[in-house]
Amino acid sequence: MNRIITGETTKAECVCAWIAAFLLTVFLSATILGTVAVQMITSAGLHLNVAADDGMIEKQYREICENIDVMAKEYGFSAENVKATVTREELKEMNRKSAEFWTGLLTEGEGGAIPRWNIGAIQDIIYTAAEEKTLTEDAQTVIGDVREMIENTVFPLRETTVTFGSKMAKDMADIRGIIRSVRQMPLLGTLMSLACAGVIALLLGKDFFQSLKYYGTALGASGIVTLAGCIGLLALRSGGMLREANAGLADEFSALFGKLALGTGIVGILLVIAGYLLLFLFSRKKNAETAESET
Amino acid sequence: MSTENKKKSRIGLWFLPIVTAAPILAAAAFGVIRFGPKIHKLLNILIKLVVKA
Repeated sequence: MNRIITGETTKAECVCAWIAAFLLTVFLSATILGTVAVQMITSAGLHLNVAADDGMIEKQYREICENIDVMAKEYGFSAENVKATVTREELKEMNRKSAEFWTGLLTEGEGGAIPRWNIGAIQDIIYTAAEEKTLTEDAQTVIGDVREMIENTVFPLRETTVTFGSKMAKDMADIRGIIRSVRQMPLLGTLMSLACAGVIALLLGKDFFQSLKYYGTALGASGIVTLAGCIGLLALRSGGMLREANAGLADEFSALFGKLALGTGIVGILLVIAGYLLLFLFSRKKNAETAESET
Repeated sequence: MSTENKKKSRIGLWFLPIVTAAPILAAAAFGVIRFGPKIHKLLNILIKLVVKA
């Protein structure tokens, strides 16, 4: 009773505050990492940003040019003329359409039309080669193979599996509803974090500096967990089995995970700094109190 | 509490975030070890189904 009157924290209050601080850590970490996951699934801007990455476009361009050289030798058409029809701008546009397809598939449950490469200019070159009788195969086969090669470089997915899979998923569940719920998760996590912070404030309201210890611990711990998540994202960057299947797609995912890891890492570092700053303030106050009581 | 003990408890203060984060990281590590290989297998199948070589 005396403790309550003098404003000292009781043992039960301390235990409850520690539980609240631990829960605050859990909710805060889950909110930050959940936001990263939601961004990865639903952010059209992020996907478009990755798709328009100049380094990636350049890689695709070089790969396509190398493949055209090989095909030109095999089929007997002019590699230079075909290469001249493939521009970085058109590649960027197709990548943008692919990103739109992805975002549509992940947020609405249907991606719309599968992006296609405009084959018009290539068709003319192949037909000219066919007229000159330099082709080793039927013109339609050559056009089909060139088109497939370019489309596979930008959008290396099996159309039938993707469309059938998305249709099946849409029939089985309300994808839009699920995505809407997933988007609300970070908000829910934030509210839960605020509730935990509120509980600490209520329990230690009479001793503001004591509460700094709990807030500092929770923020610092969330920062550490977030940084661990960042390391996890960086580990996923290597691509692993995806790289074995398709190096180009692995590069796209690598760029996406790299961007997400950068944001997560910055938030993690800021949280650790904020946490330790609060603990430093608490420590200084306690040291001052100790020195005062000794004199 | 002596001054030395108080100083010791101040030093312990800096480990509080690490101690608090430890059970969460341990749970995450357990999840990765326990379910990682299964998720890896499933992802491998999914990638083979969806991605063209």
